[in-house]
Amino acid sequence: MARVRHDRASVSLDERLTTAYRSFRLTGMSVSASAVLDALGDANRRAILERLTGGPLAVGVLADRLPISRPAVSQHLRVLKEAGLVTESSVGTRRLYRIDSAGLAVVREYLDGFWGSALDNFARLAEAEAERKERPA
Amino acid sequence: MSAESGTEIMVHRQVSVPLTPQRAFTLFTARMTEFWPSEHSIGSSALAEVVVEPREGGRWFERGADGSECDWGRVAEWTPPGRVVLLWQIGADWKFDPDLETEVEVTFTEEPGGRTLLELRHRHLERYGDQAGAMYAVFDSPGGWDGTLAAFVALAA
Repeated sequence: MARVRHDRASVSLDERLTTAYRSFRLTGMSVSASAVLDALGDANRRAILERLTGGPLAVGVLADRLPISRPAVSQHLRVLKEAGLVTESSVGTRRLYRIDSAGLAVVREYLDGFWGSALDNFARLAEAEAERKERPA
Repeated sequence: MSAESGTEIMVHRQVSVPLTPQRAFTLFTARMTEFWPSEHSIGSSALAEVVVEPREGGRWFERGADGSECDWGRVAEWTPPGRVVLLWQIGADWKFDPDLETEVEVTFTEEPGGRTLLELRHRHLERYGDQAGAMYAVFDSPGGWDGTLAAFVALAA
């Protein structure tokens, strides 16, 4: 039943995940989340990310597809890169930007925090339950 | 908090409670509503109840205050009092996605003094890989991820 979602980019899923995991381990739990939030606080940067979900693109192509200048695109890409949301690579003389799967680290962080609070609640409920049963009826 | 092997990405959390495994198992599966962080629901109306049907193949869903039901996933393994495996099929866009299966394994291990160690492993988060784009878009929506993440960042700071 389980279906693994396969990566459509040329880089293998394994490679992407290994990179994501390594980057997660390097950045640690709390470092990337605030940078990610800041980076995503801008509509143009979110628009850039959306364009990149279709595959890697060069700055010029991104600028053509968005109502912002090429220097502005470059500036946004720099912020996105620092937040670990995009990576760049060189193909010949061109620089291509792609989504960095370190975004997975954010999903993981989110769920880690989520289950942490669920289990804290559960422990409180369990303690109340234990006391309730110990009291004479 | 993590223990990955190979490329599997997961969350691992544990908590010790003063109940027997049987009682802890029942509390966890039958009264999930009472400990579920209530801001986490995918339905259109406020969360009224979280239901885990107590059998293999059972549904895992939320019932809203208006009676509407939203699937979250289903029960993959039901072996009380030691273990339950739930499939969490909620996408990065915070909607039910039948093609996405991540696994929440919960084990209940007896400890001295009548206590139980609950371990929760949310596995296969790598399956969110292709949804990164959707996830970013959700940052834009109220009730999406950003409020929770912001709170989390505040705590972590």
